[in-house]
Amino acid sequence: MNQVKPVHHFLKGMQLAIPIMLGYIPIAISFGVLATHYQFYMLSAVLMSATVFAGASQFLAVEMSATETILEISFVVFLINLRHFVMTYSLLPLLKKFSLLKRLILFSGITDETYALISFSKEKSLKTFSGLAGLILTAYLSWVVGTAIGVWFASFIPAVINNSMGIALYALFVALLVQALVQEPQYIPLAALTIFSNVGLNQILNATVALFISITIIPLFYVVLNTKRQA
Amino acid sequence: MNKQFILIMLMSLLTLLPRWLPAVFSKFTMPKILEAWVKCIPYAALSALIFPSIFEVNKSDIYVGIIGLLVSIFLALLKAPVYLVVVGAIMAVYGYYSW
Repeated sequence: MNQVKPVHHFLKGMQLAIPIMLGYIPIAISFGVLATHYQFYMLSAVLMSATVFAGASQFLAVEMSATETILEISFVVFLINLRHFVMTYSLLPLLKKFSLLKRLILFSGITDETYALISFSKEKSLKTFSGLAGLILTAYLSWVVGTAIGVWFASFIPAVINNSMGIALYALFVALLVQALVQEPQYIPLAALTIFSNVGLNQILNATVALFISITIIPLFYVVLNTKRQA
Repeated sequence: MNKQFILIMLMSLLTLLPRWLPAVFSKFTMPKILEAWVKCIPYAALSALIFPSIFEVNKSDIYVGIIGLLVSIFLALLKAPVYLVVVGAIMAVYGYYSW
């Protein structure tokens, strides 16, 4: 009976990942389509999904690739994905019993969605390595396979739509932001402040410098202001 | 291929590092202010990525960005799945161009 258990937990983990899979596949397909639209090679798009596995930052990299240098893109990607540090850090107590290698494997697959599911779930299987691995592997494969489908699908999109595709990335960003703000309305003032400052900074600085200030200094200013007010 | 490959490898490294660090430095206690700052960054980044560049989607016609923005906000508030928001915005802009 003991030998059956890891498989059982693994399958349970896969089953728990189904909602994530249903969410990831259409977004991954969109990513494959858009990356192709922005002149990424088919293999590059799939490789990016397989080695980065962080949705919003991948879309952003594709969008910036038209105008910015590799270093600028990588730095912004780094800043956006810094939040995973907070997530894996808060999962440490749960994973303390695992070896370093197992922790590194599981941490590689932490995204907003896998993190939310793991940290809020009461499932026994998600206290085991097999269960967590099943969940993360399912989410990961959905992302990579979805991207591959998108890259393949891109060649069937009629050319007449191409003119209108420029709006797609912004629509995605708007969707992500609006949905995040509906769930976490305490960030609405921050979003408003960032929009206001970024629009203003774009008038006087180049777009990359403005973006950099808007996503580092403005949130820092906002956090300091908030802590002061609460104190 | 080369330039894209370097970009992807660098992105991969810089994304994995923050994910991995806590596994190695498990004794570290995070200052509250650092945690709060890091959590804010994605909201700021999305806001700054949308504005003002959405209005320059079509540099000669600001209405393309405005229509896309309004349709996206509307669909997102209706809790439409993300891909439907994207498809809806593309359709709206396509409709505007053909009209």
